[in-house]
Amino acid sequence: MARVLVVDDDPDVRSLVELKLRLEGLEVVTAASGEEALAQLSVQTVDLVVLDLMMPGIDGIEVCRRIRDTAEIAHLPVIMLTARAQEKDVERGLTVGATDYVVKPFSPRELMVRVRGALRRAGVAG
Amino acid sequence: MADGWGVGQLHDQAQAGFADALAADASPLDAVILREIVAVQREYVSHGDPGTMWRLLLDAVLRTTESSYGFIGEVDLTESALPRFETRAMRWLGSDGEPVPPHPDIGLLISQVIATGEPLVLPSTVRLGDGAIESGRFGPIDGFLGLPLTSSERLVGVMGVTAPARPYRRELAAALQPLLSACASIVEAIQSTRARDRAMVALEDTAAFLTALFDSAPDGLLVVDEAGTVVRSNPAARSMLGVEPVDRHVIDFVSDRQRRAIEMRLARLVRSGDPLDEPLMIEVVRADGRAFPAETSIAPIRRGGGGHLIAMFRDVTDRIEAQRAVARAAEILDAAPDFIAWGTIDGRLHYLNRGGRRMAGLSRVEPVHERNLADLCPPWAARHLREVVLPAVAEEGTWAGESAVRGADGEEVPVSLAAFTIAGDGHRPYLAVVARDLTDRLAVEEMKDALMSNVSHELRTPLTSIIGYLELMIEGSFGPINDEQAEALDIVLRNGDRLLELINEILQLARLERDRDEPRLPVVLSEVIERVREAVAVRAADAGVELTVDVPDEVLVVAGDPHQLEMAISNLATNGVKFTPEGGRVTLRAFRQDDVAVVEVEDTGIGIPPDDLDRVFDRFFRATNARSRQIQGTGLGLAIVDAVARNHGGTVSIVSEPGRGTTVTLTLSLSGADQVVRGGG
Repeated sequence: MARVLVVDDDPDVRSLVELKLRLEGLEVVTAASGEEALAQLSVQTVDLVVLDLMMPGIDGIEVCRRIRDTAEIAHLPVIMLTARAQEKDVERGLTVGATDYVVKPFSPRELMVRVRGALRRAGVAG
Repeated sequence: MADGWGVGQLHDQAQAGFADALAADASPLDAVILREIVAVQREYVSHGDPGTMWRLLLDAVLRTTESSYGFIGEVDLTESALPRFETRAMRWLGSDGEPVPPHPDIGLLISQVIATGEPLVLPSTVRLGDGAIESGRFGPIDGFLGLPLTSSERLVGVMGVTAPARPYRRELAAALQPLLSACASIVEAIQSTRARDRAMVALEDTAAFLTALFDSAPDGLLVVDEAGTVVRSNPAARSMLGVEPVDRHVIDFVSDRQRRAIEMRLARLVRSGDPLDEPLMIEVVRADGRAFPAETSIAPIRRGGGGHLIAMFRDVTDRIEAQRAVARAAEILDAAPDFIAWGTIDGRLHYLNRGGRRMAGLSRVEPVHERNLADLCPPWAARHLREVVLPAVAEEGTWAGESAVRGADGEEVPVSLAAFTIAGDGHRPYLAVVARDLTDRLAVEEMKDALMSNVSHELRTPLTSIIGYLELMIEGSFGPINDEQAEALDIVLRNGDRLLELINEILQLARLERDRDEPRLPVVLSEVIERVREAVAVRAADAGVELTVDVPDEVLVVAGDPHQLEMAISNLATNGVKFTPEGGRVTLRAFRQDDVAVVEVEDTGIGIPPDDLDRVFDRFFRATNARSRQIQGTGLGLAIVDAVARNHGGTVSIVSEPGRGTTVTLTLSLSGADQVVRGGG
């Protein structure tokens, strides 16, 4: 069963994503900040990260960059959640190596489509 | 008295001459001469008329010398290098009473008498040119007796007689000496009287001139005596003081504040006798109590013993007002935080205010005359100034826009610049520049952007939870729901979407305002239209509206922002679908019209009431029929299209007929891919 790390500083959004992924049969771990996400990634293995872009402290961009800079997890698919439907943000996300992005507010169904696609491309069984 | 002097002296001399003659055992000739002298003198003394006197003298000599013809004249040796001879009386009549022309060589003989100062005796008919006599050019002369009139060794006149009954004798000249002396005295008296008269006239002229000068001077003039009392005033002074100041104390016209100081200055002036080094500024109080500032010069008048002063004063109210206005203007210029400068039309500076110096990092005293405005700008702004701003000012007299100044540390200070011409020296206009530091405004705009970004995030995050959980509930992720619950949740979801749409559009509008100067990229219109068609296709199909695209084979390229253009055309297409009933049609069309690309979105929908047509581009305005039919919308769609059109230097227009449909037309400037330009400005 694929395991997904959900990172968002908003607990409701975090719960929503977690709930949808669990309903779809995925295993979920969560982090409420960039720092916590990096800590999680150093102690356990996940198959994909759903990462909020705008967070206090270490933001999504920085977390993504560190994932790409760390050899063991550099290959992880990362789906960015961005509240700003601005091309610049999307560009920034993709520049630091995000696999895909979803603009808030998003449809859980749509997010699920992107997650499954990313897992399939990474060769992980959903 | 001056008038009596000449005659009195003359009389005395005549008496003296008379007595001498009596004493010298007078001959009959001498007696005759004495009688003649007495007659002439009596005549002159009693009448004082030189004309009569000349004639009497001449007649006396003609008689005593038994001559037929003669003359008497004055000699003036003083006024010029050449002696002047003026005939005063002449007897030149023949025996028949007709005038006989004087012998043409008489002038020559007069000259000889004047030159030698001695009597000239030609006893009877002689041909000129013999002996000491200069050669004449005319015939012989019938005797000549030339007699110099000498007074105090000065030649004052010459008498000449000719054509004697008996030849002239040298002794005759000697015998006539008393008569000649008397004549000379009279001539001298006449001359001195005349000179005195001339001097009197000249003096009177001078006095009249000085009085006129005093009276017509535009400045107020007061003559003040040693006690400070005004003794004379001119009309300007009377007018300025509003009263005749004569007999009043001059200090009465000085304001209380200055009275003491001025009194002391006047006293010092009288003591020293030197004029003031420079004019005093005195507050002069008029008779009616009004005061005015007067620039006043005071000088002692040097005349025997009297301590008089002359005061000359001028009302300088206007000048002081003007000076104050100039000073205030200069203060305002220097207090202004803006960069204010002027100079020649080619940008050479003459003046830069304090604010400008601060902005450009120049000291307060650094001269700017050697500098050009362009020297104070970063390179791009200097080029822009030379190539755009200055030519525009030269041609149209004004330019306004954004530019930059190079700050103290070389950093760029963004400014809004207004450049315009002002009247300069002579015929050449000057360049004036006012530039305002935009740093703060740009910082505020950046804050606004950050705020918008945060608001966007803060609004979207809760919507994510609202819409996400709703979707899960509707999908039955939390267990089955009945129809009524499903309907209610649908309404909540629809309104969540509506709220999201509103947020998106407000943000889009805000961004359009901000991104006016974004770089322009080449945009292929047909590609944008195809993306819009794809995006709107599902919605059109759901609504039962036919969506068609009509673009030419020609590739239409405009310079712009592809996202903005897609948003605008998408808004038009969405509107078309939204307001077109089932079975209708929406057409997306693009074509070239001269050098303009036209995008048209035409629908067969409900149309817009004519009364609403003017306002459809206003923010949040919704047509009355859209509201009555409960068609959802924010009222921002067309405002966004309008903003996009403006950002691209294009236009948008709308034609509509209720019940028949609406056509919105967007025009954009065509551009080749190589003509990607920077917009804005």
